[in-house]
Amino acid sequence: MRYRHGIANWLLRRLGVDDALTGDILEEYARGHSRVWYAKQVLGALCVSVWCSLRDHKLLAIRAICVGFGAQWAFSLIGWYVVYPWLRGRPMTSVIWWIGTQLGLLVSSTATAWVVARTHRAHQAAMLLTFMICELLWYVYATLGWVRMLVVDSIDQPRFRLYLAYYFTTILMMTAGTFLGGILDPPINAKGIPLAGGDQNT
Amino acid sequence: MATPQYLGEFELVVMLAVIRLGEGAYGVPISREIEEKTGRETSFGTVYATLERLLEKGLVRSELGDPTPERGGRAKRYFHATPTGLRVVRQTRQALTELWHGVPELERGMA
Repeated sequence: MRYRHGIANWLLRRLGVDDALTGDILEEYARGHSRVWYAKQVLGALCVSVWCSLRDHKLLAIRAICVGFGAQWAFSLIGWYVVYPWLRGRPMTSVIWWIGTQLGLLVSSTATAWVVARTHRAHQAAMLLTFMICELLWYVYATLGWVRMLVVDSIDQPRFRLYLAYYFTTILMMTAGTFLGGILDPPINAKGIPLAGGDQNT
Repeated sequence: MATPQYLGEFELVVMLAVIRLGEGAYGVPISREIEEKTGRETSFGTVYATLERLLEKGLVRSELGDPTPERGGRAKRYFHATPTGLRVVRQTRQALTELWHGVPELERGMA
């Protein structure tokens, strides 16, 4: 019998997928199904779990978005006062500017996600995902004109490619920060019992 | 008189699988039964989402079995049809049969 895919199992447990469902997937996989089958089942289980949480807790999802944007605004403000004086006068293309702003963004995104996760522990994964999607959509919408200009300019002027890379790194940092913030706070189930991170037989 | 309750297509498929399996109805045999009888590939996530919906409607009840090592120490969740569930399946069959009858195009195909 095969017991592998520790990360996938950890993810299933971490995202609050029904233990019996995880057990069914493991039981069937042990009978010789392919890795592709396993990945499809895990992905399906995660999607269904998140979708069911959102369907049953719409108001909680709205609250998560409000809490997230509120926390993000507060942390960005702190970041602005702490990081910006240190970067003032440096060109946007300098390494110091790049590292400073991206690190500040990673820290503020992590802190924001932690606040969202902490205030929605019973449906953490679904609420964090909702906030992350809204945050990314808002960011892409707010910068759409600028990015369109950058893409066009980058075609024949290589110096603009650095700004484009900066834009995509920003999106990456926001996403990474959200995952990191979610991991930092242990989830609980609907009864308030912490969901253990370990997996006995994998 | 209460309004008759009907089942969606996949809900009916899952209910029938649960009834057919009787005492041993948990995720793995339910999915297998559906695949064998309908030839339709199902994911455990979809089956569980449907079972959750049937649980909420009171058409099935569930109980946890003992944890087993081949499942990574996780318990099986057995599902059983409730008397309401059985009644709703019968009502759905009756409604579908009535719709089926008297349609010449479909009856020709049956011959």
